[in-house]
Amino acid sequence: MASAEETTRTDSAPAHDDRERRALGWMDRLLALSSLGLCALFAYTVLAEVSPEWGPLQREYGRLLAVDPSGKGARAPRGIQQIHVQPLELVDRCTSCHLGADKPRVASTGTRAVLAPHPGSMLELHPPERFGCSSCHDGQGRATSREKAHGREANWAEPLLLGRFVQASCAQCHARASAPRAPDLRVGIATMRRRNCAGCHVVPDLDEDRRFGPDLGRIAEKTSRDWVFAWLKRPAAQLAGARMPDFGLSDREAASLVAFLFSVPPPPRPPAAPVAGKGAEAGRALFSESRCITCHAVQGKGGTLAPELARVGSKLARPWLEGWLRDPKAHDPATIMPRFRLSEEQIGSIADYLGEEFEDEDAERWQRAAASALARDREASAGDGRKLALHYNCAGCHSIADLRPAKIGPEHTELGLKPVARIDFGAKASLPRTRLAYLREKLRDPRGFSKGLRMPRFDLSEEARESVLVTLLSFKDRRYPASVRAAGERRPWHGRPPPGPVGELVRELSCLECHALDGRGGTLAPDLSLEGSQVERPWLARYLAQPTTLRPSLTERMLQLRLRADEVGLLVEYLVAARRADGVKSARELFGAAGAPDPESALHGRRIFHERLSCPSCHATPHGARGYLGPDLSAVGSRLQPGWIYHQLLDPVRARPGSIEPRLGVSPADARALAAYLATLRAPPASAPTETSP
Amino acid sequence: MIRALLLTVALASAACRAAPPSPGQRSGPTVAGLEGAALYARYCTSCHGAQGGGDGVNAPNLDPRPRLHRDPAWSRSRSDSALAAAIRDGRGRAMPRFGRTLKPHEIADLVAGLREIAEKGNRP
Ligand code: HEC
Repeated sequence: MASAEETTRTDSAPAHDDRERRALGWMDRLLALSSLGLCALFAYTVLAEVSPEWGPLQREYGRLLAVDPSGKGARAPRGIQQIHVQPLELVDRCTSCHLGADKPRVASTGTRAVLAPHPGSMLELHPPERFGCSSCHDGQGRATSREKAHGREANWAEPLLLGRFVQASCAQCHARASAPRAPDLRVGIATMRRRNCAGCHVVPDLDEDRRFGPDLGRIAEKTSRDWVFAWLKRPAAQLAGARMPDFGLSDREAASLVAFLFSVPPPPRPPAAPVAGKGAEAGRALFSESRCITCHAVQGKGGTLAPELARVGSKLARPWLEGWLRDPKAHDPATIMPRFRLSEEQIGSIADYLGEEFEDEDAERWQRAAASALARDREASAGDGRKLALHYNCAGCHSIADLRPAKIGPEHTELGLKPVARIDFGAKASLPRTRLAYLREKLRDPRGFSKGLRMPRFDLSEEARESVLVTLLSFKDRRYPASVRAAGERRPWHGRPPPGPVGELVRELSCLECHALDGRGGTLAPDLSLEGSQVERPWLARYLAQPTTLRPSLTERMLQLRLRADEVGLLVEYLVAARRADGVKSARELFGAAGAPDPESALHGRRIFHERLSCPSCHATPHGARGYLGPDLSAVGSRLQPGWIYHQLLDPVRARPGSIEPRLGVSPADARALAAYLATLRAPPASAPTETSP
Repeated sequence: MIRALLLTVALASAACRAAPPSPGQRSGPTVAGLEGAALYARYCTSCHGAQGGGDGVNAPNLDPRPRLHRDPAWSRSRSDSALAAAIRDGRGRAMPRFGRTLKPHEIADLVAGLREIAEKGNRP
């Protein structure tokens, strides 16, 4: 056996040897190569370990500290630094490189951004030992190399947030609508509410059940087919600041929708005779007296709660307008427009004014275009229109026939964490593969990614889109414990009217669209929670009957609703009895048994007001002060209770949260003298305050 | 081959070791500027004007007139602590004191905001 083998080997020896040598050569080389590679890798690992990225930075920081006159004896940290925040389950090693982030500025530096202190005062409010870094900035806190720590890896869900986008993290603990120091978040969520993103998406913080667009049940009575067609084609072209987005409808689609909307029979309504007004001039006076522009804008000037009116004359049918002015909520129960107590003649005059003075110069053009398109598309059918209305979820914003709203878009709840791998970039291949780039483009050109997308295009400025982006990135929930969250901040969007008949009146007048009660309601006008302790009853009754201007610098002024005497009585009764503050002194407690200020302390107060404090900068008095910013105080004694004046002077910020009146540090004795002075500033008797508006 | 491997290793290490950010490289407004701007809009524009032009709605009624903040020369003539003191304690009788209303860090943010407004100068 052995010899046989021997033989075989000897026989084929040369060829075999050669092959073997060759094979061995390859093996050797491969082995050598891979061991070399291994060596290199090993060397690299060792090298990386002994000279990590933070090494040179720590040495540089040490040198800076050594020559810093203010940092005597301070030593730069050595090795990996980390902040461990137990309650947030967070380990951040960012300070291994960002050595100066939580320390005072080293005088000799300032150029090396990575060594500089954290800008601004945020760390005072959010100390790193309680919040770490990545709770605000995201990134990968545990990583010890730059790229990894900054989370710029394909599969790291939360890349570093910088600049305005840091605000996205505020929502982990603060309510978006009121997050302090997060203007983008506040603007973003307000924009999303105004544009009703929640009509199609589930959006955190926008969970109210409110319809945002008008009821379309009476559209056929309200306006013309031409107008609706032009509107559907391009809302922003018909109305500056239109909230309705552009659905990119073809003529045919728009015509089908018009056919559908006009095929819905309007609900019955009480017959009303047409009314005759006293002409546009009378209407103009009523328009300005009623303060319509507190909510509506006219050519860009005025409020934003309600639509711009500049071109409304060419849109509305007169009978509809009359009915609307008579009782808006009877037309559309969800409208926020209150019923002004107008006579038929007054209604007619306002309709005259709107019809004559608010014509649309462009009307002929869009009427002609719409009419010809509608004539061309004779085949457009109400059935197709209905299908389209369902497809685009028109009922997400409007009430139309029997259509039901549906959340047809994806949920936003976890949008800020949506894995990039699950984002379909479709036709937009050149976009950077990041969540931010995708969302930015989605807002700009929502349907450009692929065919068949339904999201309409919103007419938003670039600035507004960036704010919305910040807000979109904030949609995620790290479920931080309640102990670190800002308490009680979520302010409901809606006011809650009091119970009973007064509540019905408050609801009908939409008071809480502008005013708040108990922190709920609008922010346009003063909070009325403590009104009963603030104002004198006779003043309140006069004011509600005939509002005057308290703050001349504001465009938003109290509406002249023309309330009846019994309605005024009901509101006054409620505010005076139920809306009181604790700890506000009565006039007697303040001024002694007489309950009235003595002339001497009033004179003393007058001096303090005009000569010692900066009151005249913002308020006006009959004694030379002409400030324009705060309320005019010329007759404040008739308006405010002295006890409230005193209370407010001691601490205006506590007395009226949200007011910009600064604390001047007035002593109780001075506050008493000032209250005495101000209490003597009274309206001349018999002259009822009158509204003089331009 | 060896060279290729070494090159890969070298490249990889270089990639891991990208240069530190260049000084002054920033995206978006700084935090301080942002806060300062918000506070300024809320408390100061009514007198000092939205762009710091000394022309707020309330300015015509003031004597002396509110300070023009869009003036780099003025800004450079004042130290941080002088500006903070003016905001904290008020100036003359027309400029109210804000030291009891705003916290020190908010005043510091305002000073940073003022610097930004001033550096913009008369550029809109
Ligand atoms: C009621 C009006 C008013 C308001 C509100 C106001 N200021 Fe002033 N401010 C003035 C007037 C008037 C002056 C000029 C005072 C003088 O020179 O005597 C002034 C001066 C200043 C100065 C100049 C100091 C100097 O050394 O030149 C600074 C800084 C300043 N204000 C900052 C602010 C800031 C910041 C705010 C907001 C927190 C603010 N002001 C709010 C009226 C106002």
